[in-house]
Amino acid sequence: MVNRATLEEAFILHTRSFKETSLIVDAFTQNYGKMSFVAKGAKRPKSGLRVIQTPTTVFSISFTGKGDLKTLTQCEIIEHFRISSKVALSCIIYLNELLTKTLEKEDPHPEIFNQFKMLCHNLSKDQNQESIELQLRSFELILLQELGYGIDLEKEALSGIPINVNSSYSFDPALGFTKIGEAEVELAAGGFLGKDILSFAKGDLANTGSRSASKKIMRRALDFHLGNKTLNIRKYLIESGAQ
Amino acid sequence: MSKVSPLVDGLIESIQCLPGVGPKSAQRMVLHLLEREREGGKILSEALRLALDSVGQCQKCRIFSEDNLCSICKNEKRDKEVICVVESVADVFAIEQSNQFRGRYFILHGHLSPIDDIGPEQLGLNQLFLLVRSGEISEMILATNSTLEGEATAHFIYDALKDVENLDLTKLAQGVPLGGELEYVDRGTIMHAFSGRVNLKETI
Repeated sequence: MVNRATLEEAFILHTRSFKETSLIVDAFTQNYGKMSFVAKGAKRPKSGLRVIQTPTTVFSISFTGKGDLKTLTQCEIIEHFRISSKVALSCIIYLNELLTKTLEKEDPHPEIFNQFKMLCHNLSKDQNQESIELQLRSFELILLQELGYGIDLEKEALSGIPINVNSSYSFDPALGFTKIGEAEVELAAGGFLGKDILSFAKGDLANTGSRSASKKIMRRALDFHLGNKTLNIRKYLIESGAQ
Repeated sequence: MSKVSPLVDGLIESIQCLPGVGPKSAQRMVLHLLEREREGGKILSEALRLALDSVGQCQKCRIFSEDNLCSICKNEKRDKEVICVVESVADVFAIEQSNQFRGRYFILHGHLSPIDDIGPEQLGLNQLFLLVRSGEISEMILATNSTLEGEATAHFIYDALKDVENLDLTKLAQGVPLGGELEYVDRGTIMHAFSGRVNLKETI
């Protein structure tokens, strides 16, 4: 367990009020993973920690403390992403909730951190729904991979036979894909077409089939990994298409 | 804890429901009340009972009020057509102190926050949308906090109401604080200040 760090890059996942002017902050740090901090006096107008509530920002933070809840001693803005569209904003909120619920405390995942940073950077520019969805799906894939629950989109589970464009497959989050028949047979509930899986693997979500397949696959895989936790944002932003 | 008298223990226990009051402060408060502030304690308990029994929310703006309509909503001198949406009653107090705003309010009592499982329903957004549909509002000022959740809440409301005719949706300006030196303003604020710069011809 780390007792102090200086100038550590971090994203803020969640804040809540604590006492008169303080905040409890859940942050995702580059080298130490998810951590909780108390930011004393962060709501005071002259506090140096006041900037911690700036939305969609990479911070450089310093902290000390033993135990679960560290004390934030310094906080500076490294990069601020200007997010103006509702879709992009919903994505960030979704990602914050996803990371809050999937990451373990003080379990370092620098790769996820870097990917997240890149994604935020892209969200501040890219306004095309299709490419936003593709980036979200790719991020979810990497997240699961880094957490040790990667999905093989190119091979069948168990047998290792390459996924065939002309077949259809069932998906078990614990296992992977299993062939259920030739393509163009009426897809039973929960089945996926080989061509959709493969175009998802190639990062091509241009047609609606592969887009909806990628969404369903990732949703099932994430739900499996989340166990009994649910992502509340799905209740609120169903139509936004952001998830 | 003390274990001297069940009543005293109970009081120490129950006073800890206040934010920032732990066992030690609770004990100090209770001992103070019993030792030298019995009169004040009686007044406090009476005021507490009265307020908790009768204070509800104003039907229009959701501010705390013992009547169906709060004094702001009842005040005929205030502009009925302009409504300012804020996250908490504390925001209303802050805005009222500035003496700038003469319209009415709508209090959300929170912001959209999926992590805490707070959705549009808890914020009374349906009530807000009904108010808009009644047609007497010409401008809605979204004054939610400039945090991620506050911004998301503003976007959510904007999205739901952007097609309503004859309704101006506005947002508070963001930028360099009054009496602030540019050198010490953080980057995010400077970015917003630049993109929200105003034409001097229109403002002076």
